[in-house]
Amino acid sequence: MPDYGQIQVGSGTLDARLVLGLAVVLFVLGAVGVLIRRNPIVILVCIELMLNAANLTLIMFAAQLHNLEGQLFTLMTMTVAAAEAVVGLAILVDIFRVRDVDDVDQLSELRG
Amino acid sequence: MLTALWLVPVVGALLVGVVLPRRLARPVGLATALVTLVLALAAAVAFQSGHQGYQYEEYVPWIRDYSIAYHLGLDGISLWLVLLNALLTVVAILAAGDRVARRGGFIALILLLEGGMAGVFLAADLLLFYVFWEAQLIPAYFLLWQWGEGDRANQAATKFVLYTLVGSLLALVAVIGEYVYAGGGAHTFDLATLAKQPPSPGIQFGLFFLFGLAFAIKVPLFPFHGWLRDAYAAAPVPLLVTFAGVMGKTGAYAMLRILVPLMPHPVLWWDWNAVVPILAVLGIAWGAFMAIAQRDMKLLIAYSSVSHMGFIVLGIFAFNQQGQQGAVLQMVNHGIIVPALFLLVGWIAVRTGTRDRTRMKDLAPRMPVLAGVFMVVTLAALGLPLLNSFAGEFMTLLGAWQFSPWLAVAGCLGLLLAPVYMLRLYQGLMYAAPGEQLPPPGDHGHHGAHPAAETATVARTDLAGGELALLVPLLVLMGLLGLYPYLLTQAMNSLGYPLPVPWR
Amino acid sequence: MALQAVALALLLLPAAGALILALSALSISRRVVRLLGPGVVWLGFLCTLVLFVDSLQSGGPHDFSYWTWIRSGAFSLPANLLVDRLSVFMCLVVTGVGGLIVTYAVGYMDHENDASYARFFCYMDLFIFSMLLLVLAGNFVFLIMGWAMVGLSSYLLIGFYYWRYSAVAAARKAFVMNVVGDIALVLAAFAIFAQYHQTTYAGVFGALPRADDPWVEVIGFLLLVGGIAKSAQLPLHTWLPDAMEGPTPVSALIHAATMVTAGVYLIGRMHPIFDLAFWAHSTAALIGAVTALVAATIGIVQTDIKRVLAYSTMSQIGYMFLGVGLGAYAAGFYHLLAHAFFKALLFLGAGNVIHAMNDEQDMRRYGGLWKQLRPTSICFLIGSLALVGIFPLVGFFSKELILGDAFSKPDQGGFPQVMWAVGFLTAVLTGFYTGRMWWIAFWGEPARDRPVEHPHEAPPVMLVPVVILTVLTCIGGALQVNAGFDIPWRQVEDFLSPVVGPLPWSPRGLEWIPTAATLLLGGVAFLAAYNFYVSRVWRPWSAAVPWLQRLLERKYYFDEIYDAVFVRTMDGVANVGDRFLEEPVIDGAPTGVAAVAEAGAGTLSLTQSGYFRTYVLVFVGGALLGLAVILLARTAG
Repeated sequence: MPDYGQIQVGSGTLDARLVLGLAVVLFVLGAVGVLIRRNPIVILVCIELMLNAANLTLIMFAAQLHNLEGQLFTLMTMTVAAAEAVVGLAILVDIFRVRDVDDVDQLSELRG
Repeated sequence: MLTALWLVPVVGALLVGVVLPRRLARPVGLATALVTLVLALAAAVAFQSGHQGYQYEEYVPWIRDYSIAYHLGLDGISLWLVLLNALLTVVAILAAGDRVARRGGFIALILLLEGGMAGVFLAADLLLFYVFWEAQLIPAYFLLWQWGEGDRANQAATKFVLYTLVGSLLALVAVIGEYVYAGGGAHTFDLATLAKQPPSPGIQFGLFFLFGLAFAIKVPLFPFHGWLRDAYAAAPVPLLVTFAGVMGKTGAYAMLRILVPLMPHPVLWWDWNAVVPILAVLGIAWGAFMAIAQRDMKLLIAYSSVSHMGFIVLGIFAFNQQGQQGAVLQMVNHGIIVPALFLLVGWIAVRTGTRDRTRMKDLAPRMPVLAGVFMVVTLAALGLPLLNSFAGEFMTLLGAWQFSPWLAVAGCLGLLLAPVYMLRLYQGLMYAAPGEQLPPPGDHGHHGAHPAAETATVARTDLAGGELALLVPLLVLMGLLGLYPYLLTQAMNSLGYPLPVPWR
Repeated sequence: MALQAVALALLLLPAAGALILALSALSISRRVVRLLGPGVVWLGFLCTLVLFVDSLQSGGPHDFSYWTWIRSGAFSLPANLLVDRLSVFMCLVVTGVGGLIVTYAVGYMDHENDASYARFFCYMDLFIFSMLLLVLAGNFVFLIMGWAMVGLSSYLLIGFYYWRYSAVAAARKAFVMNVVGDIALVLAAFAIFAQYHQTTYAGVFGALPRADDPWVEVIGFLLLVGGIAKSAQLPLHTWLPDAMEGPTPVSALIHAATMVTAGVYLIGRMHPIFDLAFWAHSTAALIGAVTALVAATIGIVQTDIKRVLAYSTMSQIGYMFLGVGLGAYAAGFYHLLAHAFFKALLFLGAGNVIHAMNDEQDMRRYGGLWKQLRPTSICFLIGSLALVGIFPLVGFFSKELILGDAFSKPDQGGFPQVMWAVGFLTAVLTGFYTGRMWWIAFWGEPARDRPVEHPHEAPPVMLVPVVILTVLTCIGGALQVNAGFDIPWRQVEDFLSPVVGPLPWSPRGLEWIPTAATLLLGGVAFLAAYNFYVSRVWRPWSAAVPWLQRLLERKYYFDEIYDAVFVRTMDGVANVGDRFLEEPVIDGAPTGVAAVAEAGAGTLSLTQSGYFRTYVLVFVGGALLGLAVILLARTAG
């Protein structure tokens, strides 16, 4: 099964496992970042990392399966991510203005 | 015509509550109720017995894709309940009088309640029925919450609404279930079509439970009467006229017109139809026992209602014509008696300043007219023959006997205990208290300076003319329907769609 | 057609009287009440006479239908009246004796205030209407209506003096015990409809089975319970003595002459059923005999003159039950008529005395009335002798007819003869307690604590009805004189036999022996009471057996037992149920559900730490877990 792990990129081919590995690395970086960092800006950046890891996977499979839906969905995700970043940053700016904190652990007002 | 029966009160409610100034509230509200009553009476007078199908019908497609229609119909059962509803609303508005605070809102909501309940009795489409079923809850909630007596009226209103909502939300599921499973795949909400082709017994069992719970809570059927104690204690007397007089009947009516025809064989493990009469008989006895234990006059009558509603349910689930027609009779009879009882008890409470029956005695010489009227109503309530309640109780129990003699025997416990609690109430209020040997009344019909009033101050004495006039129609009906119940049953054979046990 | 209108008028006249009086009780003048109250009853009597003449001529029963009461499927019930010889017979008693008593009440109730006066006659007319409805009803539902309505009138009249708690309690007791009977009748009606699909008398009696049918016995027993409750027979009798709390004319009319005999009427009316229901029928006779005996024994120790009469009423109705229970219907009804005469006489006579004694009812505080109330005393003596059964008063002929018929009835393994023996013993006791009452109240010296030194005789309006009843008591025996002897003059039997049939067995020719014995021993017992209670030649019997006296004075402890078994149990169930089931469970359930939800929400909210990281960790953990599950499922599949 020579073509299984190969995807067509322009005139050449690329090993799909490499692309997927990159996505995994990006995703884990993002996830670990969200988990261990306390700065909300960094957390936002890490979320973007995870989203882009997902985008990469989508594009990779879209290319492999010759299906445009993956690419379309990536566009969608990017839009949503942009919107999300806008809202998130706006909230953060507001929080900085009111509370002057840079540590999410201090933002626990919603505790039950 | 039929639309007017529910729309007139609703429009009247909007006029009274929103548009018109407060001083016009009573006259306009009363006029609205009277117009509705006249319309209902006209329908009754023009009613032809023996006609099959709906006598009056209105059909407008509403949501075609799901074959939901605005479909109203009036037949030999709904006619009497619509009439009762219209009559009692007039009584309620008259009884509200000047004493009710924020009169405009109160009367508007009473009218809204009338409209909702009329819709329940008129709906010939299951979804439309459900809409009205829920609609009647809204005015009831506000009336209980805003005009309730005592400091726990708020809680009582919430409890009532949540309790009934639990039932009716389950009923919504059942409404959809009917659409999906019944009617031979016709996917319709039309009651007549649904009644022709019920779903399989197992499905029926499920739907029976969902519907049954909603209706049983509304009636209320033992042991689902948990909301009743607080709600009846909180409800003001003019509200109780329709709240106790008609609202419970929407549940019983729905049992007879929805539950029984749409789910005639709810069989899973055993026939669940046979479970209901047992609950009904338990309710008859339980309500009577609880009535014996009560000291608050309103609660005593509330529990007597539980007992009497048990007869209605028993008759419906006797599954024969005598029992079911007796149940309809009893719905009307109870709807005539209970408002009268609540009004009288309310007036006595206003005069004496207490609802605790043990704190009153010797009232008869002070208020002879009230005592006389109360006596007649008491006798009607305990099922004295020649007065109306006897006919209904006799027919329901006759039906029960044919279903199972032991049920009728057990139901008779309610007949035996009714005189106990009703006479204890009446005699305790009106006559000498234990141990008393008073001198006979003097020439003016009043006791001299004897210590009757040591416990309760009697503000005003006898029944006022207006109060008496309010009760006269109810008293006349008690006598008339006792002597001639055929007046009601002769129209009942004309049904919009047949019951599982056909009425001939 | 005319007759149909007369029958309806008979029923509606007293009803109209009651209704008018009820609506105008607070304003109507006393003179109008005097006219209206008894007037409607006498008009009813006239109507009854019309029906009586017709029944003598044609004899055939008329079944008049007026309107449809209800129709529901197979259950179709016309509002119909059955006018036959039995109902006419009862109507004569009700309106005739009733008219006399209501007229008497015009004088007796005169010291009440205006409102109470009107109220009294309203209730009395209501009673007459109810009783007429009971006897004229042509179907079971209307029978039950009349049955319950007489119970209501009785309740209203017992509780007439509502300013006395004893009257109020007695009224309620009477009502509730009567409802037991009503319910039995209702159940009987159910069983009858369920078995025979008929509602009118004619229909039901026509549909009765010829062969053995267990339902006939069931129906018979249910009817019997109804009759027992209304006629104050054991064990549903405790209300009748208490019912003496009502005004004396009420005791005369309702609790002696008419209402309490409704049970006898019921058995006679339902004789086609009872003739088939052997056990129920025999039980009626047995209960009658036992009640006759038990009531007579209690009557010996009572001191309230009205209570003595009340127990004698129970006892005499026991005789009637004995008679109709054995199938001697005509004899039972003859005694019903005789009893209506002499017991109404006794009660009205007692009323005169009570009236003269300022409402004192304890006869130990009378004494010596013979000299001062001569007319009343003579009438009362004649009534007493009729009660004992002394020749030639009406009581002799009717009682001996029952006893003679019982004595001669063949078969049943000697059961009728045992019943006769009980009846014989009761007759002797009757002589004794009647004698005791008479001697103590009227003879001897005036009691030291007598409330009135120089009593006045009653006014004419009260005396005349008493005298008329005395005359009837004296000559009533001429109606049927075959007591103990085979004399073919039997007007009562001949009149009633089209309805209840002739006596199905013939006398043995030996009846004169028991008749003579009863007459002799009854009379001796009457005289013996003189030696016990007036001359006191003989030592009081109670000194010898004090426990027996106590047992009798407490009326065999029926009241105490009923109170403990029924009343307290009922209240206990009600209160315990309310406190421990209704309030906490049924009423508290919605609140309980709300509390549980609240507590649950509180617990769950602890998981909301507020730390962003925790949420993410749980999220990632959950995602990984989900992934693991999917992968595992795929490898496994």
